[in-house]
Amino acid sequence: MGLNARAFLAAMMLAALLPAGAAVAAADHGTDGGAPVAIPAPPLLENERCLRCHADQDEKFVVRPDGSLHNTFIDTARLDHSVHAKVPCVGCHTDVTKLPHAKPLARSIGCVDCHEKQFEAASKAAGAKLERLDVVLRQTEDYLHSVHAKPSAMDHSRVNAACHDCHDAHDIGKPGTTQRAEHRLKNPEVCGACHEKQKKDYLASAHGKALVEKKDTKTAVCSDCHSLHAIGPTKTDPVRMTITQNCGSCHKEAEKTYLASYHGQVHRLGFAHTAKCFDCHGGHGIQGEDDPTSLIHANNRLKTCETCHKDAGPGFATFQAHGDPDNFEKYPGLAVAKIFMQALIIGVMAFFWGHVLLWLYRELMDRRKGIGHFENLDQPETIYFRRYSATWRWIHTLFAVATMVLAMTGTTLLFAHTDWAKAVVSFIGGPRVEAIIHRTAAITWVAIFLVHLVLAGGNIWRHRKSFRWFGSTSLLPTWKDLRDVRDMFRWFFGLGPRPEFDRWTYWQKFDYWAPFWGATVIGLSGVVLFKPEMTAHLLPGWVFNIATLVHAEEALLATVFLNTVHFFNVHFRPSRFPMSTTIFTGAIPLEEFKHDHRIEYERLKASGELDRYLVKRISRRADMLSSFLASVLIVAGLTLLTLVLVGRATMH
Amino acid sequence: MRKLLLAVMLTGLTSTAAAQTKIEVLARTCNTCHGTGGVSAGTSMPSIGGLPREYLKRVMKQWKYDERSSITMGRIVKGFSDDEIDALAAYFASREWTPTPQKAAADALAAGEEAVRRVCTDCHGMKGGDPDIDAPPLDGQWGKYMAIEVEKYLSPEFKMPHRRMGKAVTEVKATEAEAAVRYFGAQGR
Repeated sequence: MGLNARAFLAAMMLAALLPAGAAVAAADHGTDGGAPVAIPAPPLLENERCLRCHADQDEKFVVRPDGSLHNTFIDTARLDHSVHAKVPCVGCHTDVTKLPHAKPLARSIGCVDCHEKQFEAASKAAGAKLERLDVVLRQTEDYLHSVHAKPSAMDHSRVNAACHDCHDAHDIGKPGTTQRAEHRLKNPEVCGACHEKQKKDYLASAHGKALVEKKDTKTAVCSDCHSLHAIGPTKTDPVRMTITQNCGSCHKEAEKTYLASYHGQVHRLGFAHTAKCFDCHGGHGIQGEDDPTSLIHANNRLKTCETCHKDAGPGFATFQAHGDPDNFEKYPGLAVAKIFMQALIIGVMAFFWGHVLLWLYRELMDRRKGIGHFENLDQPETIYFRRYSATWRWIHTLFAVATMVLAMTGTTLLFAHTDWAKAVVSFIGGPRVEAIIHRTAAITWVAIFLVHLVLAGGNIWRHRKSFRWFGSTSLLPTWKDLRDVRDMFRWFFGLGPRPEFDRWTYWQKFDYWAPFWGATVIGLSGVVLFKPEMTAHLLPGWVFNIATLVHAEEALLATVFLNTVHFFNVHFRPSRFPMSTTIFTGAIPLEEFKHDHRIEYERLKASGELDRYLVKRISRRADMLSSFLASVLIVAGLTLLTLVLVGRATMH
Repeated sequence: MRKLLLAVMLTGLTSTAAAQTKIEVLARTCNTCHGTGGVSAGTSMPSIGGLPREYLKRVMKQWKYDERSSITMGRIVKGFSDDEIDALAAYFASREWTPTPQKAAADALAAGEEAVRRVCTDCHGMKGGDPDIDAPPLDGQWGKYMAIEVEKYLSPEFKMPHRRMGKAVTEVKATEAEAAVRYFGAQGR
């Protein structure tokens, strides 16, 4: 045997021993973003030998044993421009170890294995650019967990769809090339090879027509909505969520307004059992609003709503599902409602936060000088003034708890983008449970409000002969309140003494009357949203838009007001810090009462009625219990405030 | 009744035996030229025992329907029905391929190996013994026969339907084709 023949034999043996996959892994894939790795090993069979048959223009098809025609033609011009141009044929077709090869070939092309090896090899190389390889690897990972990688129901030896069923491996263009663009246009054909019905529906849709008739490369193709590799059964929640997000990657404005809607809020919390884009607009057969076959066409809209809202009233058809309060041109009513609510929030908060800060400053200044109410440690207080009856204490406690529950559950929707909202909703068992809790708390809240009205009305009726509407014990605002506001500010600025108050100070009156406004705004909008099907029989659809907006804004105002201003006025001002338990025990230390409600004290003392209200110091256990209750509510309120502020600050 | 049944059964048995006999009888016509069991005695007459069934069926039908030129075969196969052709193809395909290695000079073999590697091997296998599904084995086939076949493929007057083979013969020089034929003819198993 000559030297040449021996060398040839050795080369052949070596090539046969080397796994072809490894040969490919070592090949130069610099074009794919990876660093040049090593000198390519000579393939077992030169491409030219394969292409003698497979690049034969006159014989592109072979007849399979089952009689079907199979295209075996390789377009070398396209192959040369593909990302696999430098990969030898047998680098992928590893079962071809000799010619002539077995027919048909085994279908197992080790794309995943090769790409993993390529990534590993490239990661070890210095200065490796892994960006593209990383994408490939991530998509491979997605694929392996997708429904396509699962065994086919008809033939368990095969997966539902292998790489080459979707990718024409001989024609994979580099990013940004014409090949890529062409592959994108072919997408419905590729998917439609298996998903025939969906392809038919798609081609008749607005997206499909744009693609086929207008050659619009930017219109949505299958992979834009279903994602590239993380394909899953469309009945599952993660897939429904993903598709909705994907719609938004093109329809950004619609996504923004959708996410702000109740449907979108539930979606953002991570739950799929709410209207997604395709539930209203249709999936594959999606059409524009003006198309008479469109699910959202004026004539079909109500029917579409009825698929979820069984007894949807006619108002559903006029609901502005993508209503945008920032778009005055299109939604003037909604925009005005937003401006009004925001002005209200800013106005109220600016006034009262200013009030809080000035009060804090003045009281700190006064206390340094020894002015104000101090606890005398040598003579602990033993006499208390009975300010609230048990009924009102219960009403306040229940009202406070109901309000907090409402705020907590409601703001999870408003701030659905936050992690805390998702955690809270998951913890309580999802949006359905949340809706039940919110509605239960709402009924409790309204019931307490109504019971209070009845009690207050009864109280007035019983004392109708002596009751003075603007008397010293009435909660109705008087001119004195206005004067007190003025004098209080004078005191803040050191321009006069602290005003003296009767039974109710002006800020207490504000705290009392604010829920009347709140009950009207939140209550009415809440009722509208409570039973949308019923509302829609009576009112037009835009009412839902306004109701959703004012419900949220008013709730925000109440939550921030109560947990800052109310907490300061009652608990955190220096003379009360850290808390007042009067509303829980009903009793206020007499000295404190004298300080805060001197006019009432003087009046009762003068009339000799004071003794009727004086009580002994409450028991230590009752004191601890009320402190505990107050602490829990304060901590809950401050937590809620923090969450709301975090939500508001991160809102976009 | 019993007699009738017996008669039917016997008829069935005899007809099976007749079918077996018939193919042997039919094959006798072939054996006259291609040798007993399709192993030819040479040199321009090819061995056919052990050729792929589909290949045999295809070429016989091509002769029968004048899709392939021939001197003799076209006349003979016209006398067979399609079913008989299928049966003959199956019969000869079931025989074991028996190469008849023919002697050749070392330099002719080396030149032949080179030409085979370049042009023939992708369809017929390196030594002609590992052919593609639609190609005949050529190891130990009669050299003279193969040379005539190459000539037929090169001749414009001859209708030879295998397009790729027609292309392949143009990719080698006459001397190379001759060497390749010798190389294949020299192979045994």
